[in-house]
Amino acid sequence: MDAATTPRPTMVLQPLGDPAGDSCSGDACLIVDHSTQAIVNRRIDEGLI
Amino acid sequence: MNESAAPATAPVKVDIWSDVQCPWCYIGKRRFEAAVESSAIAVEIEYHSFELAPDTPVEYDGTPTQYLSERKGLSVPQVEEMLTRVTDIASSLGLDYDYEHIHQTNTVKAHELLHYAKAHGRQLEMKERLLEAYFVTTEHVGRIDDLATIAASIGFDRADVIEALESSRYLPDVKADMNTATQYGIQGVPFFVIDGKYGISGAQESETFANVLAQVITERDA
Repeated sequence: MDAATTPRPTMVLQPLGDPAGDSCSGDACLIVDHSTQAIVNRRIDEGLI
Repeated sequence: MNESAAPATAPVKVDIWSDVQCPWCYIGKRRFEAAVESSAIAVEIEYHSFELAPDTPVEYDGTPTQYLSERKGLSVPQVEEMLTRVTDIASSLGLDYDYEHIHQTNTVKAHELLHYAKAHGRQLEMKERLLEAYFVTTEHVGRIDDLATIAASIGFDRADVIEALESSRYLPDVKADMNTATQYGIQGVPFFVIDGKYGISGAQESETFANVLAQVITERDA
């Protein structure tokens, strides 16, 4: 859906938390580049860093 | 008696829109559970249906890698890199995603099963079982027979589940959840609606979830 066809929300919520929280949207879940300490730690443990 | 103020001890209502085939939803579930435990704030959780890919066929012969590659026009190596990233994050939370053996499928019947479980007071247990089935044990979650087997594994009556799913008894509830998601403007999952007033998009870090819960309690008491 594009901006012209996306329905406007009729129930408004106050947003909390990080607006860039990881989520799946659209017709398939794309996982965008995301760096977390967990990944870094694991790579350190595996000697990749 | 002040009937307009919620009692201080009333649990925080958390409505979560989620799909069984959403990798961030399972990750978000674990992070939220950790936040609830660390904050010691009472919550009442209810899951709602969100179909990420409603036109996916029940029987799809390829892997999620092939599905994403075809649907998004990405190369297989690009998709594999993305899936490795989310698998690493899941693994850090004790979730062993097995993308090589996952059955890409349509999830509407899985959502109907979640509503069936809700009607029997066991939705949370079914949600965990279905996520585990899809991502970890790579069971098929699109076919009625397989879903009945999954339900029976946690004590539900197999024949009753089959009847409920074949009759599509809970399909209106799935559609109602999708309609509510539209009314809230929800376009991605997981999506958390807190006390019907606040919205949190995505699998936030546990600390963020805990801070939000604390903020909600504070604003209730204000």
